[in-house]
Amino acid sequence: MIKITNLSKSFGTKQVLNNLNLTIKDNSIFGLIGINGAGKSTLLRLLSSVYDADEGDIYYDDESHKYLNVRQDIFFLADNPHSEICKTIDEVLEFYSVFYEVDKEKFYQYLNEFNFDKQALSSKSNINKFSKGMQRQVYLCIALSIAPKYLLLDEAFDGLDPLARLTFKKIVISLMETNNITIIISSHSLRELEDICDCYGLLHNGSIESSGDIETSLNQYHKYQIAFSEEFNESKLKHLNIVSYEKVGRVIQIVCVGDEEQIEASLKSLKPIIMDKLSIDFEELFILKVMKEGYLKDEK
Amino acid sequence: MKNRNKRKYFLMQFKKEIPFTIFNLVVFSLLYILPLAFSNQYNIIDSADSGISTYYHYFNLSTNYGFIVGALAIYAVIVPVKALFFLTKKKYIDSYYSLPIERKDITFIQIIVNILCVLIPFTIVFFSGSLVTLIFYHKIIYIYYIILYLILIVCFILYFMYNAFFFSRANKVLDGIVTVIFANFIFLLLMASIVEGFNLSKYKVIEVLNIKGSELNYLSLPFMPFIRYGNYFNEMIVSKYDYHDYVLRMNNQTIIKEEILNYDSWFAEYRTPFNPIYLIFLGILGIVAIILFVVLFNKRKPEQSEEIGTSCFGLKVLSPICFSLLTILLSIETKLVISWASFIIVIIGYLGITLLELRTFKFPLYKILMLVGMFTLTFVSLFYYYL
Repeated sequence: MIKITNLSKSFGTKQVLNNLNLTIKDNSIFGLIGINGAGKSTLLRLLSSVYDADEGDIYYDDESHKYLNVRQDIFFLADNPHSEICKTIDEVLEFYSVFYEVDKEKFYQYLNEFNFDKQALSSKSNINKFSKGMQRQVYLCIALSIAPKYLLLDEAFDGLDPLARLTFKKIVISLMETNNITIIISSHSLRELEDICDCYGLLHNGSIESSGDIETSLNQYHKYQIAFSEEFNESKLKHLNIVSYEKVGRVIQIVCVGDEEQIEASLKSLKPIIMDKLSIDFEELFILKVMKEGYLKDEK
Repeated sequence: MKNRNKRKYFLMQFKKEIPFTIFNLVVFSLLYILPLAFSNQYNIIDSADSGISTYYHYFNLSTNYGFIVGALAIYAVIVPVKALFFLTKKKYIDSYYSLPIERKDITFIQIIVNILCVLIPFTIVFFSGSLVTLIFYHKIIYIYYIILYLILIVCFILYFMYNAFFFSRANKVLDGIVTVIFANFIFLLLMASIVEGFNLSKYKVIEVLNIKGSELNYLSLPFMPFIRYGNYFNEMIVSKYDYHDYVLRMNNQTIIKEEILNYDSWFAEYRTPFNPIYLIFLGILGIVAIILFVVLFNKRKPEQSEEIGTSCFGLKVLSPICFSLLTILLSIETKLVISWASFIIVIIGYLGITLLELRTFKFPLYKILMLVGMFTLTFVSLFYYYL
């Protein structure tokens, strides 16, 4: 279990993380989300000891993250890894083998699953000449072949094509099931995160604005498409806890929070000519959450 | 686990640097073995035997290690930049600092590996070259090669750490390089200003060590031991040949044989005495730099890499100090309170360095005020100087 208590970090006068508290349960995939500059990468860097916290503590299984034996169980893959340090795949493997137990067979197996270019696999191929996506695949395969107890991935899907994303998600899920690992992924690809994450944390204003199980959070929101035969006055929906209201012609799309049955009964009482329940996805949930914080006001 | 990681990391880094070590071996060989092989000085002794006056030939007799010693000094400036380059790149910091190894261990392994990459080939070439010299000049005093080697190694490590410290105070590569350049000349500027300002050049300022005011300028260059001790030990190694030369000249000039016995006193007078002050000065600089490096390293925030430097040992402080001293010096040299030439040189230089430091033309007010302050200080100090 990862436990973060009262974590604060500032860069000069800019407070990036402010009294952040969070608990991430074992054997889960945690999606770290937030707008640009929310502090996702900073949090991951603090979790992996790249940065030092101004205040607060981080515990992995009740042990401080500063201990080397704890750090041995953590692998952090930054959004832009250092391909200049290791020029070839062999060098990358050798570099990480110093600190971790890299399963080389698994590494090549994962690369195969990514349909990695066979020619590029040559021991003399220069990684710096690989495309961004290929470099990403190499480092993801390293991370997955190490299979640490805690895997921290910053912008995990960045540079990956849809097929590679699919492969990555499959490997991550099977790895989590077989190796009992905890994965924290920060990404803006919320649809991808929705597919693999059990829980999420929305970082906003330096702290976790909301967190929890993705499914449970999604079930709290109900989206409807309704249309009325006559001009409809928005005030009639005042009694509902509406978080989003959009009107295009006579068709209205609303997202409400509350008891589903009550909301539906209430909407039916207004006698709409059309009333469809639509599904809401993680990306919409994220947008609703950040809208609540005052972003996207103009669009609203 | 901790030590195993360190050992494995050290070995891996060293293995990675083998091409660099081989490269250095080639460089040192080209700079020492080749000049030695093609040197024509071996014939000079023969010509001496034929009775021709060879005074100047003997006087210029050289071990030819000048280039390799110079290269060692240059390596002590360049290699710290290579060793600590990772501190100036965020993505390197991300990768290195997240590893299960202490930051200080990564840094010290980088430093040690890079020092070895220079010293191993240097040692091989230095002693190979010295043996080649021994074959041709069988009368050389070989022990001085060993003493020189030990002194050079100490000087290299001290000078390396001096430059490493100043580079580590910067957050960007270019800033680091400029900081190292400033650090190498700040004492020269300071000493030259004092010597010129107080007209010390004709006085012996340090009686015990026989240091004249004019010598202080050279003393204050941290790389000076390489030049001074290189020259000194070159003379010591070939001193027996000088003795031979002395005897020949004595005979040629039909001076009585007893005078040859005065060789020792002639030698003592003729030779520049060994002056430990250069080593002492570099030693102080190097040891202080090592202490500050260790103390300040833990205070260095990883997130500062690629950001504007804030260290008091960085450009922020060194730049105004160096340019102030330069203004004073230029003004003294040109015999004007503030010469236009120095005024323009300093303004352009200072603003250029400030631009490099801040990466913007929007200079904060304090930077401009600092420039005004520099000239005010120069004006006031020169006013008193000429008064």
